[in-house]
Amino acid sequence: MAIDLKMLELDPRSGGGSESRRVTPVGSRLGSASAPSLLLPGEHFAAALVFWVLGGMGLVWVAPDLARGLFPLPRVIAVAHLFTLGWITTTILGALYQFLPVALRVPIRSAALAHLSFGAYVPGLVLFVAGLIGARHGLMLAGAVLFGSALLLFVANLAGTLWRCRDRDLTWWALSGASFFLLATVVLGVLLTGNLERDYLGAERFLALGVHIHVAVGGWVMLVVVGVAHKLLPMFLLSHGAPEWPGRLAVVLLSAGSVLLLALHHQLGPAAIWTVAVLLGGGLVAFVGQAVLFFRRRVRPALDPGMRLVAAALGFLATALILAPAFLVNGLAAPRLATAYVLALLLGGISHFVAGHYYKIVPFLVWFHRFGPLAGTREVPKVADLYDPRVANAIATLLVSGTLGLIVATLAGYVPLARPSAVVFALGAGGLALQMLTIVRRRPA
Amino acid sequence: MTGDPFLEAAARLDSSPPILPPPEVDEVKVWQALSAVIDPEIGLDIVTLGMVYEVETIENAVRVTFTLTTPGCPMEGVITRGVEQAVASVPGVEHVQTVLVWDPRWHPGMIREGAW
Repeated sequence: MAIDLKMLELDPRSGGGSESRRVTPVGSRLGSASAPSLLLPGEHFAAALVFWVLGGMGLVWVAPDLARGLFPLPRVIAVAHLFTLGWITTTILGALYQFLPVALRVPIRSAALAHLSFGAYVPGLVLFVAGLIGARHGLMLAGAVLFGSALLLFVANLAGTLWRCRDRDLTWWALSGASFFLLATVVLGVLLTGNLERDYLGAERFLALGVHIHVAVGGWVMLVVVGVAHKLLPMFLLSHGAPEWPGRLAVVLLSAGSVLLLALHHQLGPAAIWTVAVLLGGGLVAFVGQAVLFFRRRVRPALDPGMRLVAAALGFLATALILAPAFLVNGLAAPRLATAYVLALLLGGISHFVAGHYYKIVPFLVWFHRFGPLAGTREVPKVADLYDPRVANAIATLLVSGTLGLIVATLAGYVPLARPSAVVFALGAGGLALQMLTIVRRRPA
Repeated sequence: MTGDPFLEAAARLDSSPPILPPPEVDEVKVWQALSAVIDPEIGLDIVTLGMVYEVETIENAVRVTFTLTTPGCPMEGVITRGVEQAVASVPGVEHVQTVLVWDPRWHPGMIREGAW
């Protein structure tokens, strides 16, 4: 038997490799091997789904208020925080604990700190929302301090993780910026909470509220979305090779707009407000453009339910962009327009973007931990086989149509449409939570 | 002892030719076994996806050179283990070596035509 000894010299570490191949030694793999246990992202996703369902029910409660443009009502703000902090931020925290080791190839700095942060975050948020609904300022402040401290721990953990990362790509920069703006959002939120008691912001409190919302959305959430989408969308859609400059532009514009907001805060003049709007709006346009490029360059012919929800989210973000100039011109003189703008941005855009990724992340985690060990030994299901796509599409239809109905009802000031739309959305939210529960219970036969 | 089954197999053959021919590993069966390893997110097997670059056999040792869709792919550990387990199930295979490479970089054009 003739042996071609050159065949044995493939490994370039031996110096004899005839091809310039970069070999990853099996023993030093990072990525999924260093991902935390299922418990860490799992506890976050479970809590986020509970907040999501509560948020859906809360929408039914406050839907008439929304259609009347009564966004400053404490119960409306409480429901808004069930979505922003409960659904969106809790999901982001859990997803980053799973995503960072894989995407940036560094393990989380401290899993124990992450559990501790979660343990303070959830009760803090519950206290805060309960305080808002019950008009108990002390409870609100205690909750804000508790979940604010939890977010500080999260940022410290994230910063420690990012610091150890050598490959500082777009995702790294986006997440670094996001962690800074998360801190800023917490500080601004605590200031607003304290203002309820002492009213030191006076007439500028609505401007301060606008700054808080836009630093949270533009600086924290959107930077995370841009950074994560930069890695995940090409992977999910198989759209490798799409131009990536819009993503880089989005990071620069969103960061610049958020910095300007923080620098001027409640002293923003009209010129500064328009400059911020152009920067943040430009960042959003750049991100939507980047995502559209990924979708258009995709090789996978069919969109799964998760990616359909993401596509719907992009549509809602575009709607928010269309409403933004009118909101800027009219300001608080048109409260229903302001409410519809925030609905399109938060409920339509970001909440649907997050919901879409649940159809990717949760089945993947279940597959990875339960079916992955069987790979190569027997036939295993695909990730998409872990749920019924018809049910998922029905849920997506409920979520999208409910959100559309709410936006239309708010824009038109048509109260009778608001509550039925919110019920439709809540049914979709409950359906999604139930479907995730079904997925989590899947085990090999 | 180098610890490398390929080098050890080569050394044995060079120094003392076997009296009986060793059981041959059927490379076709190795490829068939690899076709059972799927990328569960994409839903296609790694051969159809064009992720397996090379299969080499020496005696009863098999080396599989493969890639993933992207560096940092969360399926890295699962697919690597799947390759090892699938190839190990082929009759005659006693050693499996997996070599993960990033050059040439995988792109969707490597997917076999008609895969969808």
